[in-house]
Amino acid sequence: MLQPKKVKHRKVQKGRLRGKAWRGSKLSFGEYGLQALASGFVTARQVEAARIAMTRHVKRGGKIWIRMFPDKPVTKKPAETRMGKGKGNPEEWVCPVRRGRILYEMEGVDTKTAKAAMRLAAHKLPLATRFVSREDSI
Amino acid sequence: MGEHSLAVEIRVGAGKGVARKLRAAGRLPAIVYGSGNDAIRVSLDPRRLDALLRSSEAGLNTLIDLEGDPSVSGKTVLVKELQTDPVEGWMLHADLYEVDPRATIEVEVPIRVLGQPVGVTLGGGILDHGLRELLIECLPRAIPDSIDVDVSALELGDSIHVRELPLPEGVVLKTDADLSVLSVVAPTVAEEETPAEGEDEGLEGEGVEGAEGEAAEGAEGEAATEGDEKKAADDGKGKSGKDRR
Repeated sequence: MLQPKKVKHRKVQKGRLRGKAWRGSKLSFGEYGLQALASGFVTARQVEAARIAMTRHVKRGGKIWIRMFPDKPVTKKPAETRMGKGKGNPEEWVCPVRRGRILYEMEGVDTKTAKAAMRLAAHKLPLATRFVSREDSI
Repeated sequence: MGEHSLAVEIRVGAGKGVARKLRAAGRLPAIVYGSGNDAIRVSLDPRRLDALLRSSEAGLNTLIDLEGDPSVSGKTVLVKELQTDPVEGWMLHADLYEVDPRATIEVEVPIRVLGQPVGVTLGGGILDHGLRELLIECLPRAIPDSIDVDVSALELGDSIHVRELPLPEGVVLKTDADLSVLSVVAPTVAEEETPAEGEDEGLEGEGVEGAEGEAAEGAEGEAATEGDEKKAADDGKGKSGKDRR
């Protein structure tokens, strides 16, 4: 699973996801992409699950780019613990995703295969997404 | 000079408030600049611009003749930048760059791939795009719609560089000639499922152990704290009881 090699701060604040993704909202590498239509956190496990689903569908063909990275630690308190006594332990890594962000890109396959692979990947993600292609843009 | 024409209106005022009102009224804020002239703020019909750019083979490099106010009428422009909403996709602002028919300009032209490489059809490779657009310099009239590249002879491991691209007459290359444009690469082999699962299990196992360890530590800590809390609570009760009395 993806996670940073080293971090400056082990625990960070929750933050808010306001607005749209003005950066990383266009196709940069591949012919097709999967774009987020809602904002939220995508966990490292979900990133990996979606990547595996796509890779298995396209088999030997195609090249895939992951356009997000889980660099935000999320903490969780142990079960049946009273409130207080400080922040919980780091539990998982998440990618803060704003709507409009391109999550994955793909190349080297036909549109039908790319669409089907992206559909499988989208089922592993907690956000509404849509399939985008270079053909659709001006 | 251009084959297409577009009606524009001069807009008064600047800033996001004015721009938002214009967009709400179904207009697109835009600006006309270039050729050493002062910038002129205009507004136009976004549907007309969208239809024009989509119908034209040249895309954003389409030469457009402006119509309307005498200050902009007769100017030939091309769309230098088009801002769009990342989610909805509608246009937000357009930069219309005035071109001088006698002066050369630098533009990015898309590279169009023709044919299917032998390395892909027979060799099972993938066609990798290193570049999708090429920066060139030419007269506005000579801007090609695209740079066409025939890739049918490419075998696995072969690549086409910028210097090998066929350029039309009057076009000067501004991109680094040594860059790779297209190459046929071997596909990445999909991970074998069994070792991957094994690894996953290993990771999960470690994760579980780690989690248990943490949980155990947490439980001990919790027990200690709970004990303290109970004592404190008892003391508190006692005190409160005394107070009541």
